Amino acid sequence: MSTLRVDLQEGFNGDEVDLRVNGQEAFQKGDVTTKQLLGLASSAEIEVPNGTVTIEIKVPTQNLAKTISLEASGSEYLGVSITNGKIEHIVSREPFGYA
Amino acid sequence: MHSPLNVPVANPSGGNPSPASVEFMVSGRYEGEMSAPTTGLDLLDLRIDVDRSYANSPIMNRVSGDFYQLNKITVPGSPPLVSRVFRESWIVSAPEVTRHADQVTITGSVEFWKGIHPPTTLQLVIKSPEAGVAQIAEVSFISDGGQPALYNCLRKSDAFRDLDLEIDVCGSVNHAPVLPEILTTDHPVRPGGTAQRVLTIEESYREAGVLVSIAPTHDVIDDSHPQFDAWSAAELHDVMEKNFSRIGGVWPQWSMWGLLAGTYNEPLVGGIMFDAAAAFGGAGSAPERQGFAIFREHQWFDFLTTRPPANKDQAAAARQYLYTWLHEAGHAFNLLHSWNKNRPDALSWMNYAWKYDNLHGTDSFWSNFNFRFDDEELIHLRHGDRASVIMGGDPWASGGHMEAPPGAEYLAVPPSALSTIDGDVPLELLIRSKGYFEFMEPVAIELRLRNLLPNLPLNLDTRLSPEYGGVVIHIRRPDGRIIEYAPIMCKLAIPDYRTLYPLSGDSERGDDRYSEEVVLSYGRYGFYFDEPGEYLLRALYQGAGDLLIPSNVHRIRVGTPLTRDLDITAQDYFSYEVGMNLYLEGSRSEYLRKGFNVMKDMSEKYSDSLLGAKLAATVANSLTKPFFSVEPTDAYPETREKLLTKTHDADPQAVLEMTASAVDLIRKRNEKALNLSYRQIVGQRVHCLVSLERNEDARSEINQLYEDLQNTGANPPVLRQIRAFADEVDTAGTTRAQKLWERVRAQDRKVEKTQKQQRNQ
Repeated sequence: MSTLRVDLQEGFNGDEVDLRVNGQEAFQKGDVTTKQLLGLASSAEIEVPNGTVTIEIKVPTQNLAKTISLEASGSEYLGVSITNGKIEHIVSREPFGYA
Repeated sequence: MHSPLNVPVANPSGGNPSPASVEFMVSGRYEGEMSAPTTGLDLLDLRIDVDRSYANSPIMNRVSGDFYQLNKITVPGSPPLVSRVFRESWIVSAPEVTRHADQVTITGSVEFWKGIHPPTTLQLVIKSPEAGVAQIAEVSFISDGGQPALYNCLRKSDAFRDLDLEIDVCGSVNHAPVLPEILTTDHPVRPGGTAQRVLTIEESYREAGVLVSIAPTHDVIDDSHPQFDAWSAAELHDVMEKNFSRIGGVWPQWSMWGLLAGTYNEPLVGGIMFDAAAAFGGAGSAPERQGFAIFREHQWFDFLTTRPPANKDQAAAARQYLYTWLHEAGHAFNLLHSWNKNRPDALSWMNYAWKYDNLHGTDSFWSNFNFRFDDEELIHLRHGDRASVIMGGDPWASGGHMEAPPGAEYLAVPPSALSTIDGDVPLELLIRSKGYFEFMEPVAIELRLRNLLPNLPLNLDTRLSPEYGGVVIHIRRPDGRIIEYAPIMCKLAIPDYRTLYPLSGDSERGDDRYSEEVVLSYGRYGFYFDEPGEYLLRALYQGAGDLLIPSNVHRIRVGTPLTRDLDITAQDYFSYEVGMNLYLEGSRSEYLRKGFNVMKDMSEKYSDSLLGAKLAATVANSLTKPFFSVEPTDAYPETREKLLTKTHDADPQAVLEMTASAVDLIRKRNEKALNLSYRQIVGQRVHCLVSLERNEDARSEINQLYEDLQNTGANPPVLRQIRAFADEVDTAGTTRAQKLWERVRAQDRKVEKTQKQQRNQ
């Protein structure tokens, strides 16, 4: 198994966020709001199987959804933002830092 | 709202702005008093930024400044007492610079950050320096239709701003390096041609145009409690309140506090400027932008060592450490993240390297970053509106770098809204109130003037209502907008001078001050406190002369409606008719009858609350005297004249019934902040009791008032006034419409005059 750290970053404003990994519910949170001082709203660590995983991100409060694939091996970091009415993501092997 | 920062940078960074070469540079900070048309009236803090005055410091091609009003009090046998009050900031965005062998001239159009001004042109001349003599800028402001305003400003510094930075350290991380230091070439990933130099907090900000002074000693905070593991924003703010030596001073000020701590409660956070509204992730307490924290245990700093670094990891950690300090201090200067300003491509201390790299490729940020703020940020730091830059000024994320909040286009932030006073302050203007107001409760504040001079009486205009124009009140609403309270009526009257004596010699506590209650609920633009939440108030006293004194910042909280019924009532309450009744202290006008009835109903329904009590007092006030209005008449059919007719009789009995529970409630609250309201309501009742020939009852209420105010610590002159009030009852006889309080005040003035004559003899 690998650890996927998901950071909900920019563009959240009292939103509900659902994450499914390979079709299974992995994370759900309501009232997610970006702290503009940091550019971070919320974080979660999810156990995912090694290899290619499909992640479905839904923000029903903004009627947005996006499905992405990534290769998991060890520790992975996923940043999710809402920009110009779209879900955008960044995948990194290093943790994101905030200041 | 127009912002001078929207103007493109004409000469972004580096290079001399003029082809003609001269030997001397003129950029830097200058300061001087007005020389014409009124000598010494104002002071100008001038910033010229047209050539390079410091190595590696980009040129922003701007001229800016702040105007301060000077208060000078002449004290016999002593040097004059001088204080200064910030008035407003301005900027010239594209100055024309002409260089001659012996002088530099600069001209340009002045844009003021706030308020409405006539078109104004700046002209300034700086002659070539002489050895041992500070450079002088001769500055003229020429406005359409006005006399030129002239200033002679002496060069003070080659930096544009000064900052005092106080840093404390938690015991768990109190090991070297506490403060960051790098050589710009320590890390191999850097832009080609990077000028090799040592960068610290001071040096980096020095290149940005800010002279930072860091206190040499750091308090150590023992954070070894076994149950403590990570900091919250609230705890950081609390520690700042206890440890920052400047926290108790007058804000805003150019001071900042930094804490080197272990870990934040969100472990991915390497640093935070915690002193901002909770909605942004801060601790939510005004004044804002006073402090920040750096978290030494963050993984960014795992390889941090003292210089020189032995490898790339150590160099990267040191670079990130410097970045984090500068970044957080940048937030305290009211800088936002680059992407929040639609500049995700900015190579700036305010961007995130990983965000930039996501757009431009791995290591692209550090490969191109020149260790600086971007141009727009430098313009903000050096030349921005003082209130939006200075710590404790505008709330974070408001001011220079943000679009105006909704609706702000017609509610321009007034100049001087957050002014401070420095120097020998002769007078205190204090705002206070009971602090918490129920939803819809009329908001009344006390404005108090107090003579602070040790041995000089001050003769002051004591008309403190904004209607007379001598006092301006600014209100910061819960949404962050700062608006000026605008009264409905403007009154033209002769000044009401009163002598405030110094608190020394034979004067007693109370002779040195004067208080007045001012109701702010309703004004020209409607209700000012119609939303639950926190409001900040600040007043400026101008009086009848040239003195300009800002007050303290006073916090008021308006509560939420306690019941659904009260919430629904708000629909009727927040109306023109109720607002005008509040403003006019009750009206029997036919046109405001609806409001009168709403207030009367509410005063009965909510008689057990201060909301009900205050509404009852307002409604009752309109019944203390008859009401007259013009009515159509047949008496003058040819001239169409109308007849002034009494439409309502005074109803003293109704006043007494209406205010009985109100006076009882205020008495039982036993709050000093309600003393003025208490006096007014008793005054109302005494007036009615006398008119009903119930003098004994009137005296009894005054005696009760005296006793209650004595118990809450009222000053002797106030208690004397109440005694005099009781005496007036005895002499008032049965004459109706006796204005007892006015007679008491007239007597007071006579006594003061006699005292003054005696002192002068």
